[in-house]
Amino acid sequence: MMITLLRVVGLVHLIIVGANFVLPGILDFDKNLEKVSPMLRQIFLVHHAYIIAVVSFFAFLCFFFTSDLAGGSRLGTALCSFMAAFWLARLPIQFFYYDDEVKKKHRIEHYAFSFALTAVASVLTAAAIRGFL
Amino acid sequence: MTWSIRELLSLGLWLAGIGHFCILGASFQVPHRLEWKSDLAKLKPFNRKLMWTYGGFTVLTIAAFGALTLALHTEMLRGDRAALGIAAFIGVYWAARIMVDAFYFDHEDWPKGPAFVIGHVLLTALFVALAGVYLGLVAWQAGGWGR
Repeated sequence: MMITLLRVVGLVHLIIVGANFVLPGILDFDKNLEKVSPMLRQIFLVHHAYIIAVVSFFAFLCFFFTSDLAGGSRLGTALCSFMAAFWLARLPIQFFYYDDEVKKKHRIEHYAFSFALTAVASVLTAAAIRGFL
Repeated sequence: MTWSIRELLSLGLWLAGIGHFCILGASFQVPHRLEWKSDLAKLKPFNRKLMWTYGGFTVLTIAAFGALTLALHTEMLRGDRAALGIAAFIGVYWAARIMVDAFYFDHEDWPKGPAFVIGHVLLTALFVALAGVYLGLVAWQAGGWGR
């Protein structure tokens, strides 16, 4: 069961990665970033690329190291804890930090992403807790 | 006294783990020193919040790299498959960061002064060391020398 769930989580990670390629267009990064200094613009885009890389790595772990993640070993538990912490920290940002106006404007995307976040955080937290028990 | 490659990599991993937390010390100074507050005020609120979120998650990722390296020191040195996967990712992460600094950042509007030059050199040296330790470990294990 946990193996299947972790593979689904891997797939959700890939969808999040895909969404991050569409995001700059939706949020009009180019036009917006023209207003700031080149230094900040470059740092912003590098951070964006690095977040994509990290989430892609999470997908890679879920697909190719599924048994390690589900097995409850020290290593698997440490990795699940890291990924769970990453997504658990992202949840309150989605719900309480980002502007309601933007979430209303992109209602479907907001609900879809919130559901995906909750599901991914829950599975990874469960996998991490299983490892600690 | 001669050190074996295993002993050097073992020490390198301990230092790399600690090194990540040193990077965080520099990271926390970036928003203030580069005057992000006034620059970010020009962005739409959502993009501004996105930037802070990216920054926060980059900090979280670097802290996790440090913690994972210290916690999984034995597994990495032993060459466990998943541990090497993490080491490879961390190595590529920092190698890419060096490339970004060399070929993408244009540095023209970066703050001037000796403190920034020294800080930049030290940070780049640390990135090189980190990439070297992790990718060196992966190469050592992949080449079968670790067994």
